[in-house]
Amino acid sequence: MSGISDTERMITLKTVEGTLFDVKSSIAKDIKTVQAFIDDSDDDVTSPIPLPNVFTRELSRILDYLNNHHRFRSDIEKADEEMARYDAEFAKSMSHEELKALILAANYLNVKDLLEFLNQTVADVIQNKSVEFVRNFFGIENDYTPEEEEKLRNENEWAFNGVEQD
Amino acid sequence: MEQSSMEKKKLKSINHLLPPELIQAILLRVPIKHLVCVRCVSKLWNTLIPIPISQNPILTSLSHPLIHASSSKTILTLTPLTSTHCFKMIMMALIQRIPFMKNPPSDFHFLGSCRGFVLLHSEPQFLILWNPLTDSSKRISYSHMVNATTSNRDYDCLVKVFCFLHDALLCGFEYDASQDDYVVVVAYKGKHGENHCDLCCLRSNSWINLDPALPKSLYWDYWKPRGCSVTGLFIGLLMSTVLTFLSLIRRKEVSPRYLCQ
Repeated sequence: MSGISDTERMITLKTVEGTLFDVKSSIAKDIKTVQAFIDDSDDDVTSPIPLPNVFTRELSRILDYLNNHHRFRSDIEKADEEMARYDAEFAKSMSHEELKALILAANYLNVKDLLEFLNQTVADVIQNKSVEFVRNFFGIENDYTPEEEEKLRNENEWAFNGVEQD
Repeated sequence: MEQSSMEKKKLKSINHLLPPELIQAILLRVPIKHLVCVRCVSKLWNTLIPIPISQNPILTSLSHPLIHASSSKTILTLTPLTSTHCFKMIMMALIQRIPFMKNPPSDFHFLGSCRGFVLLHSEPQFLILWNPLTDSSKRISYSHMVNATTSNRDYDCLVKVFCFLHDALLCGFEYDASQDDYVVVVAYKGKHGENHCDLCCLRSNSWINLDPALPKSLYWDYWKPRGCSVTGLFIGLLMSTVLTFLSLIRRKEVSPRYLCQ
């Protein structure tokens, strides 16, 4: 990879499955975990950076998101509108399981903007949904006894007005 | 404990169980009213959601009408600037009960609430945004309004002092979903009797002047912020104007005049 100027430098990332992704260094800056790795190796990264917790599907989604957002930011004219449309599509394209997998990956890679966006997406998904829906969504086992749960629900009865039925 | 069924579930979604800190980050974005419900999810979740709302009758009584109203996304909850005696009592009790500040402000007023956040006014010349859930608060100074309304020429004459609760004609507090930010809008009279309207974006904590965005005659003089439904409707309209104006600023079609940072 000689002869490439500093601005165009590419960094190679390697997922759990062994898939390699070439990433512009400007994009890699947004992936804090990768950037920290680069900083630690004194900018002398020649071999692929292994990402032992990140799967190919998630990494390709994250890079897609970052690439698009970089593109939007370079075109201020219609940045907001397009970005909003892209984000909405991006959120819609995932199943609940994929969404959670992506949150874990974004968290591990420390992609702050994406993580915030995903957290908001989940918050929107579970808003006004029943307790059972939320349990299902997060894969959480109910550890209350029926009596305890009943008591807690009764205490907070007002808050359950307006909760959607499953 | 049903060990086997739990293990089965774990196996099924072993990669997708979010750790508590991530769940908490998500829950911070859920409106308080719904947070109260999801405390029933599990014992861990109950501990993730810090304020024992159910054991705090004051907060429950406070939250109920406010949060219920603010769950509708379009219009902010409007509560009178000059709070009723009863409401003030509730707020007093609330503020003393929760260590909102080590020394509770002696003179505060409730201005409004939005998605569980509460906007208060406190002397001298501060707005305070308070999140009852995390007990965090943020101060917003409006000193530029004081400067805009105070005559600085004639010190011999009667100096007019800007009093927010008296001189602010309208005050609105709303969530701007497009920016994931909260905005405060204040309309007030300038020193020559002219109308002004300023907006504060809470993320940047900066005030923007909105005068060019407003319709020519609003007859604000007749609108007294007393929390009646007509005023609420009016503020709703004002808010939509304001949010449209904001999007124009972002699209660089209008350049904002920043007042103070």
